[in-house]
Amino acid sequence: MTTPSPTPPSPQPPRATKPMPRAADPAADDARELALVQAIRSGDQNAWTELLRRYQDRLYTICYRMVHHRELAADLTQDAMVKIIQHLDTYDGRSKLSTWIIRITMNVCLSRLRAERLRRHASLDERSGSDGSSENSRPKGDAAHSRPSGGILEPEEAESVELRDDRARLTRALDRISPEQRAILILRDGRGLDYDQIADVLGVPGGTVKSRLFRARAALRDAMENDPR
Amino acid sequence: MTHSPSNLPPDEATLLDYIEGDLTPEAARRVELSLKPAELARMRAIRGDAAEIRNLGDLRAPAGLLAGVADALERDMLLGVREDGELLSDSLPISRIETRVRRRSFVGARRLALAAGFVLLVGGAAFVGYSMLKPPVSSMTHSEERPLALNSGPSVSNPVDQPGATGDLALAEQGDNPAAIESSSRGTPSSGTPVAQAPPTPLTLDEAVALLEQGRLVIRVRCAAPEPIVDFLAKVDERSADIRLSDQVPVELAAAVLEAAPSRGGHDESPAPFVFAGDEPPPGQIDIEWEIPGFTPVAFDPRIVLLEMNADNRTLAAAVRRLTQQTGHEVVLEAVEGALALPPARPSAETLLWWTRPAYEWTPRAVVPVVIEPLR
Repeated sequence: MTTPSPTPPSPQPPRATKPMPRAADPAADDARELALVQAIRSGDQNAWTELLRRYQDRLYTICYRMVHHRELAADLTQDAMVKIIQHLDTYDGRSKLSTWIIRITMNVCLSRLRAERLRRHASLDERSGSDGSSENSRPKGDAAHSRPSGGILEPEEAESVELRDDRARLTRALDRISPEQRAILILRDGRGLDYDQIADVLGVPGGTVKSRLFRARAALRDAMENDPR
Repeated sequence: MTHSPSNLPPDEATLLDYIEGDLTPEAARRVELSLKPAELARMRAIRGDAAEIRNLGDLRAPAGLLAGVADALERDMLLGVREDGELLSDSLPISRIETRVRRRSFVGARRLALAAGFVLLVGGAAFVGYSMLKPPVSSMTHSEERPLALNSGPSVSNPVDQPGATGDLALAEQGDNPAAIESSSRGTPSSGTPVAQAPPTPLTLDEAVALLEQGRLVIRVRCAAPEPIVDFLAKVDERSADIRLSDQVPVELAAAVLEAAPSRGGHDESPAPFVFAGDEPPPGQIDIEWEIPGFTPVAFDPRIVLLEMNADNRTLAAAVRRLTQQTGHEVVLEAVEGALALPPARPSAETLLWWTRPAYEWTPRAVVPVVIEPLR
């Protein structure tokens, strides 16, 4: 708390601008998804692909933010989708479908990262370096980033944005904190979940979420300030 | 929206509320006033970090993601288990995936099948190649490609027939070199005997093995006394699984063998001219000092023993090499024109269980007469 931040102070972000709006009317969006679940359970053959299509970008983004590797993120997304399909009959509707789906996806990512924790040093070196599979070196025509408003960018447009130094520092710092801290930041800031939803996804009490979130933010700041560039 | 009084540092929850923007403007102002400048800068930087993460936005999922999911589901469906190892329920809605996705999965499966087929093809070819090219695992392998030397009639390569030859010593030296094993297709005339009349031609080891299988091969060992040879063959019989002494030789067979090959060694032929040290060896002959004081070839009646062996290059070459090395005498492979009435090889565990071994390891058993005859 003694080191001045190299980042200029930014204005207080309004909570009203939660990211990733998927539809103009979230309630209608949720209703449509519940209808898809009912359709799936009643044997509608088109419902599966529609549901997966609605979520594939979100789930892939979560996985990519967690592992920062395109191929691995795609594998994890597929694994998560398979689990979602296979376990959809266990969805009881007590939480939002999106929360339930994100929980499965995040569990897949955390399981993989925990399994690979022993090899993490090499992965960090690779990711913080010039990893050809990383976001910053993504070739044109591949997956693109979204603009600040949350919309999906085209490759050329995304590349100019991706090359910004601040974003590169941020991704490197995210890689440097623990997967659990990264997860809570992605859920909170990346997906805009509230504390209860985060608690549901991570399976921890609501009070624990706040303390973990504060520590995760502090850890990220430390990583940003200690970024070797 | 809890926050501390301005004179006390805010607690962690208040700071988080400040970072998250959950405080009212007045409460946020109080928090800012209670913080030291460095702490305030850090809080603002943390807020900036959160905004940066929000600005990262969503990525576009790669194409074919759903096809991969369909493939995985089909695979799990075929295996009957979920990824977590639990059994799939009968209601797994694999059939509910739309047709377009299933077609993609079929393409993926076809690629997988093509890859598997290619791997099988390469593996099969490698196995066949390995089976065909596997050498007989013997030091004799190189001799298969080289014709063996003649020894019929006066020849520079025949140490017995040739003046100045070094006889058994030469063969003892050659025993280390299987390619130097001498064999012949003898055309020695004999009334009423099926002896090959063709001019002598080099016998390769392959030809000798073929003759062995046909019952047309005779091994001649020329020595001073037959007992060491018989004793040695008895030891070979005890120690080797590939070469065994057969039962007693039938009289008819012995007669046929002796008639097939001319009798030699002091009966109706004069002893071979031995040349001792000081004589000039013929061109191409190994120049080894040769001196056996008082050496006199001893005449004895030829003896015949039957050897059972695997009819392959390795075993035949090993038999000849052992006879040459152990006895130091001349060993000649000789072809006869007609098949001899040899007894069949005795059955053994190896021959009965041939089908349990790889094809390249199994060879038929054959019987070959070994004629032990005196030096000429």
